[in-house]
Amino acid sequence: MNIHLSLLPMRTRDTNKENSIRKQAIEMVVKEGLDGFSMQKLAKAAGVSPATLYIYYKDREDLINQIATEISLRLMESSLQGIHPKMSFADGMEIQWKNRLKFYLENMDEMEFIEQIRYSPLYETIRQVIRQKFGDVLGSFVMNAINRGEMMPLPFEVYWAIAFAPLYQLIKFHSQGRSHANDEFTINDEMVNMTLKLVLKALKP
Amino acid sequence: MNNIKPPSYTKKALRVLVFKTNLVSAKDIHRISPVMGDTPGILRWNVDEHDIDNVLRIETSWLLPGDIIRVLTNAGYVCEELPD
Repeated sequence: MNIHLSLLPMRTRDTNKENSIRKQAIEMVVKEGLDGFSMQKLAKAAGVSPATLYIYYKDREDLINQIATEISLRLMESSLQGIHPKMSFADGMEIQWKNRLKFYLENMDEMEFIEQIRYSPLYETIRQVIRQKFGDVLGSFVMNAINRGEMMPLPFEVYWAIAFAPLYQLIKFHSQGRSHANDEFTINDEMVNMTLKLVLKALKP
Repeated sequence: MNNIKPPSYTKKALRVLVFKTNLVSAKDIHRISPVMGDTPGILRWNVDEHDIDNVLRIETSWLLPGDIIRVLTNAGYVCEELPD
């Protein structure tokens, strides 16, 4: 999967070109879905030749994978900023919520791109990278909270569904600009804090 | 100090050659596999199975596009270089 492009000095990597390729690829997948995405279309949109794309990426799958992995790692890194495994559960959750919310709002297209590939087999590689890199910190943060009696021991999926899914639903309403009940919806801090408070209450033993 | 420069071939960089082909199925890829493996100079190769152009990608330091086209044509496939 990994190709060593440092071995290719004949045509050196051009960061501007690479960024433009990445930006166009994200836009294209968000607009047309994974099925509507092709290397030829991407080359045209990014103003490079199809041959150039294959200098940077081994194939279509490698391109999608590299972009998605980079976004996912950035999301995880930013959501764990300021997190210490030994900090109180409430503090750690508040920081993670704020970090995640900020990242989503600043990277809407990127996150929509991840949503598009989340249900494709490509996502498996990304899942593994995330687990390898961040499993330890998050695992011990939760374990410590359980041992201190601040959080109920739960199966991971139940924990996650309560701990983070409510935030993501609010973000979804926000990006849709509306909800079931209101024609207009914008996320705000008050609403986020209200929801987080309920989440923390629900997870208390 | 020894200031003799190494011969230029040792500095020859790896290049990526890219071709549009009609290697449409896994079967086709399987069929060319032995000849690709036997061709000296091909360091790595792969076919983009999930894209419409069936792009064949070659990493080599000294083969020329014509060499690859010849190999593929002899194996009964269409192969044309994608220009830069």
